[in-house]
Amino acid sequence: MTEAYDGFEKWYSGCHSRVLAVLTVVSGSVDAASEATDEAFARALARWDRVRAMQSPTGWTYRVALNELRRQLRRQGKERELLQQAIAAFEVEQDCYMWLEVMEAVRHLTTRQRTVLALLYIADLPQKEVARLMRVSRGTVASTLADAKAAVRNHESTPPGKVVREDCRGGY
Amino acid sequence: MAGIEEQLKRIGAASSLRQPTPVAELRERASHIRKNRRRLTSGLLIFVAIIIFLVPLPQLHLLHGSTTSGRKTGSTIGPVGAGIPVLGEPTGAFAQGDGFGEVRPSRIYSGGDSGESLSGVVWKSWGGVRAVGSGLGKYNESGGKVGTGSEELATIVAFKLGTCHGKVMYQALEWFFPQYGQRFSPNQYENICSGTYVGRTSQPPACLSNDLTARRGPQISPATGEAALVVDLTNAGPGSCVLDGYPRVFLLAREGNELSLAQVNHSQFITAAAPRPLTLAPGATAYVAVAKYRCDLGDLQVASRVRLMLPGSGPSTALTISLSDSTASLSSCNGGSDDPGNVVAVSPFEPSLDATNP
Repeated sequence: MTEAYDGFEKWYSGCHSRVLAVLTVVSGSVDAASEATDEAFARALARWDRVRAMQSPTGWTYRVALNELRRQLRRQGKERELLQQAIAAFEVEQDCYMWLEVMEAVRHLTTRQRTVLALLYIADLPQKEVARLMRVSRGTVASTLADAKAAVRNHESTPPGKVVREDCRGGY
Repeated sequence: MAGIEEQLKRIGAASSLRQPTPVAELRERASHIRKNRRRLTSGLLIFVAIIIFLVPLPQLHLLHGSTTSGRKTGSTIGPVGAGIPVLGEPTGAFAQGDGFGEVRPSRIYSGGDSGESLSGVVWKSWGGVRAVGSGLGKYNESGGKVGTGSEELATIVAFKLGTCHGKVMYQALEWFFPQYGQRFSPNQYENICSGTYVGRTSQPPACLSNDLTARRGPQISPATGEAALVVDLTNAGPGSCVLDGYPRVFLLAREGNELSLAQVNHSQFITAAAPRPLTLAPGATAYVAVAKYRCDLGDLQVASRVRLMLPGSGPSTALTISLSDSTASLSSCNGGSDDPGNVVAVSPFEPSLDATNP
């Protein structure tokens, strides 16, 4: 690594998996999430001098990655389609059943609700940071969170969807 | 079933869905992003320049004594109006140049050995303390404005407004490439009243990777416990150039990733002498020695290539040479950052093989 990239590799390996997981929950597609994640980290690398000096390089990366994800899905006209098929299209080999459970639980949420849940609980960011990152007020984050939890609870009380353990191709 | 909060937290703490993309690939992608950003910046600057060009300037009305709103450049404007400054005068080092002694010249050629020129110059302002414009000049990565390199949009500043030999003129001129981080420097300019360069040395330009060919140098016997190699850098360009400082050296695994090694500037085998500017005539060779201590705790990854980055240049212009199997001991080690084998020592550019040793 050159001096200009000092610290990048360590930071990247430390936060990559959470960024990818957040985007996967938001989009319902590991492929789309993976592409947006790579793009965000490449942009961070392209201006690493400035990004590493930021108060929260990871927060910046989440914002860039989420914007990129939205742009990609909109361009492909796939947002709705992907979300509807989130479970069927979801293929992971690690912790598969755990992922399927989560994807089934958030499938009926709005994009904003899924984003708030993912940033708060997967990225483990404080509400204040989530609000800043999503460019909404802290109150909006709190109310979106409450709505999301209520929606998940309501969904749990309905009969299970299409998720079956066989979807995990034998490994979970 | 656990609550959604618990489920998401478990996902956050779980292992990654996918292996992260290798940093080498991200770097490639970052390089494209930077190039696109530069293109966009240049495009915007050109757009702004065109807009400025289309705006009628009151100064021209004064010069013509007419109401035309057409824009003309100084070289075709005709007699200089009283009190309207000209751009220096063709004298001294710039006696054979173009654009000097004119108002708002559209082309400026220094006339010096370096053949620096700026064409399509559009002046945003003229007549004030400073005149500012833009034009197309040759840029190269060594940071200088020399006669070779890609044509890029440059910002030009004429300053030090005053009287020289009885004429009102801008007595200083400088241009630079802001899209590459260059800034106006009032201490480095062409004195176009006296015809001299100020704040610049007359030494040849820094060597670029395009000027050099890199190959594996002669086999050497390093100090006990060290593995080493020498890289020959031969000036294959048409003119002399200068190497100064240390190259950045990267050892690359067969898979393309960089071995995780720290770089230092001397060891048992590598000279601790400070670098000195080394002027390479065409065909002349400079030497760089690279050495590292063996891996007492075992090899982590073995290098198959060595990449050298010249001072001030980027990864896209690095010089790469392949290593034969006999250099298998150039590797990263299992002992982590404290392992003395995870440090690579690199000499400055030296004029002889002997000079790379202590």
